[in-house]
Amino acid sequence: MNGYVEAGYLVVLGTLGGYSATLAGRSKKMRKALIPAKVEDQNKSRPND
Amino acid sequence: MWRDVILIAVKDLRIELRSKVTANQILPFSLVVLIIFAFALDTSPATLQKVAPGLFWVAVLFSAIFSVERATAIESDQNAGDGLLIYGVDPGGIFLGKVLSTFIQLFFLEVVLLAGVVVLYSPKVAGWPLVLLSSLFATLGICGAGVMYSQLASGSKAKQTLLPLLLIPIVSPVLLAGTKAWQDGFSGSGTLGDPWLRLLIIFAVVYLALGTIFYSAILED
Amino acid sequence: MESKGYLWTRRSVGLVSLILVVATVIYGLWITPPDVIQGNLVRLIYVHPPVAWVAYLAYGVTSIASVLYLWKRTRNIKWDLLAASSAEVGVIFTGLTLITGSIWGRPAWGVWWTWDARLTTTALLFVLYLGYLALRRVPADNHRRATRSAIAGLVAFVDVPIVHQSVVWWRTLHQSATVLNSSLSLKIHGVMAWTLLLGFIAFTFVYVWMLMHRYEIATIEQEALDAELEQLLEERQHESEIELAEDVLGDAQVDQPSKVY
Repeated sequence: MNGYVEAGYLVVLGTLGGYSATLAGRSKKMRKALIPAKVEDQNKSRPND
Repeated sequence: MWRDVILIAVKDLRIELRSKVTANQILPFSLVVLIIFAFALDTSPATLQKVAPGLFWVAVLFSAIFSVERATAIESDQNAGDGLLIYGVDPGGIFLGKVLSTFIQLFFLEVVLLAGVVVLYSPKVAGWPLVLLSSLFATLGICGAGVMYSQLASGSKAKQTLLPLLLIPIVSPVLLAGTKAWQDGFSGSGTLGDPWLRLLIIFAVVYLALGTIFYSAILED
Repeated sequence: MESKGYLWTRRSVGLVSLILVVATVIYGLWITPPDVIQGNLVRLIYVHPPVAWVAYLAYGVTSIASVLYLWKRTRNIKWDLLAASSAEVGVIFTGLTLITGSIWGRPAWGVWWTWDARLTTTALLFVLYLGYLALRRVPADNHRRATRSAIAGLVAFVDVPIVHQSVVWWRTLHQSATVLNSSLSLKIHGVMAWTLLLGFIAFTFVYVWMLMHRYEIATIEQEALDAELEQLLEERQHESEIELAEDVLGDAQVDQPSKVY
């Protein structure tokens, strides 16, 4: 087309795509990190009780 | 509340009179800014006269950052702010008192700075009333927003870098309006009904009101 | 939070926004006709205004959430997390607004930047909310951080009309009308109007999806932080209980002889 239009679309899609990927990656990582922690806690607390 | 305003203002001014930070450090700094502006731009009188109002307000804004930072630092040491609240001093009174004390200090600084501008840049000032009145309200607005933001950012180790980032965009309308009102005042084309003066008044009123309302929440948190 | 229904909703929103964005791109780049005056450049209109709208929407949400936090009857840390999440997404979209505006401005006006009221206000908005996010990163306890950021968020929002008005006057009182008005006043109709509408809906969906995701992350982070704090407190309490017990025991041993015998 004229370079500017493509650049505009590319910047928007690239930025939003990158941000989305970061968000998805972070929440996945967090959920993975949290779930075993919860199980561990339960195991730990049972024998003590 | 009004008694508290005077109480806090007098207390802060007395601390300033003893430490002389504004007079010995901030004021010379603002004069240095005036001089380096001339280095950065041009020494031709035409250029300097044209940009004098803007340079003045930029110098004031930079100095104001130090002033308001100091105004809240007085209390943040050793949690003296909590002490004031325990004594039953009204939070809105503390805010307005600090605004009053920084206002007086900044106004004093502006007078000297204006003398510096007149000497160094030699502009012609036709309409003194507009210049004076706009400075009054612009300074009030800067102090209102400044004290509030300084308290917001206090307690953080990054305060010195955080405060300018927060404050400068907020007070940018004051910089703009102050500069334009001064340009109108210098040229004599502006009257006291100048829209920029109105904007400065609105800004000052809005930020004094916001500060008075929210200061207790900021202090007590 | 972690319920199936929530996850399902978030994923559907994600899917819908993906489809809508792809549709917007296809319509915007290939199906809509070039404009009579602007030619292909007009295709940026399907992206730039929707992105700008989302930026303002995001800041609106931040302000409402801030008010809801500050108001004692609705005070909940969730509003604070929502305000923060929305502000972060808003900053991303403001950045995109500025970049796409610049990319449009260069061929349309011949410059990357012009000191137009809208542009200048948006640029200041960008910096204002960067400051807001920086303030949030200052370590403090939950309530303290939430109150401070809520006030900062609200005050920033109040500043926007003042900034805008000052810039409008700045540009109009001392200079004739800007070039902007002439080149932006294009007639949009038919498929172009629909594509523009599609763009608005698509990016709004993207915003909602991002907000949900960001909010979820913020909530988990907060929970983790609180749990950690609680654990530390418990440990501390346990320690002090032992100390106390030792003290009492010690006292008792000293006292015992005189009391009993």
